[in-house]
Amino acid sequence: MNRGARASTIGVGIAFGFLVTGSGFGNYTTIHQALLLRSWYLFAVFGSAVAVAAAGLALLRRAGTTRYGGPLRLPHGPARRPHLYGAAIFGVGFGLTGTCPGGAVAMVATGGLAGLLVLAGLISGMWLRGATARPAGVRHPEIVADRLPVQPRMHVKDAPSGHGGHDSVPTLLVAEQPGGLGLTSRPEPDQHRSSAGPARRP
Amino acid sequence: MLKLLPALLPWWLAGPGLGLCVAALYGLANRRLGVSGAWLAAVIAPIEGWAGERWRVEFLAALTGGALAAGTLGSATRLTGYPVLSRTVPAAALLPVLAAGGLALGYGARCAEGCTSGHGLSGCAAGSPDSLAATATFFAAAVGVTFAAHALTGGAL
Repeated sequence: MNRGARASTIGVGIAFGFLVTGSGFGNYTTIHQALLLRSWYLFAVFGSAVAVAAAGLALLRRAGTTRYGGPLRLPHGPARRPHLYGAAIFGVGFGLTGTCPGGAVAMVATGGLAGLLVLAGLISGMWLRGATARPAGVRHPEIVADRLPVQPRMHVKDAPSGHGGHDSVPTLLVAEQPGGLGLTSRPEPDQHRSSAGPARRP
Repeated sequence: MLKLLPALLPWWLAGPGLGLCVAALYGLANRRLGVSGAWLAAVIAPIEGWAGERWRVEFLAALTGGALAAGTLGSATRLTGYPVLSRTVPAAALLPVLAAGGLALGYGARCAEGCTSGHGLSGCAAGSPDSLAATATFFAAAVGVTFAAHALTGGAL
């Protein structure tokens, strides 16, 4: 990743942390009232954020390229079983704690020390998922998706050559093989194009 | 703390601002904004012995800096973070519930390959089917759990 991209990441991170905290994502009451469907503030924030981001991405799609990161690559993957049961489990945690991985940072930053307990749970949960998914990876060494950073399957608009690509996930797409981790759906052919390096085939 | 910010920024400022963050990270660095991926790269990667992407770690540090700035400029200083919950539920029950809730957040986010930001904001804005399905699912589950907690506590929560 070049300097421009790294500086952008840091700038966006500061702005994102500031806005997440300022819009009450770290405040249990704000989230709880929204999830009780008594306050629409959070949904207004969330909805307008998605709308503005979607409009921005529509413009970027037309340009097809990015300032420091090469040809634009947007996630476009089918919904699979782990997305659904993972999201359901995540939602239970979201409802119980009234916060999320970013919101917990905001909670701690505003003096909510109980957020530290949530963060400890979050780290443990991520580790637990990696540990319980590992036996499948041992039996089938090519199945490594769950040990990799959260990385969407990419839809590539242009040839990825010359692009910096992922720093550490050249084998992600191999994990999309049917049968891995109990998945049965077959990957779409175009998902294989975004591999940054030569993919290892089983 | 300094009370220079309102308790909540107006939605029409915070929402579009967050949306611009998502679009800017794509438009500048070609990366999906996601906080659970940042936690994974920053903390889990060293534990499991693989190389987490450096930009994710820097993003998490920057996010923390921005959150601290907002916390310092803002009005809120809450020593527990759970004023209503800690009045309703005894501490002996509250702490395990929070830890279990955190566990569910982490396990679920890694399973689903994203969280409120990665799927909810970035993926939904890109119109990715997995993100749309995950976001609908976690919001539905969160609303269900919240209503259940409300009913179980006799409306106290």
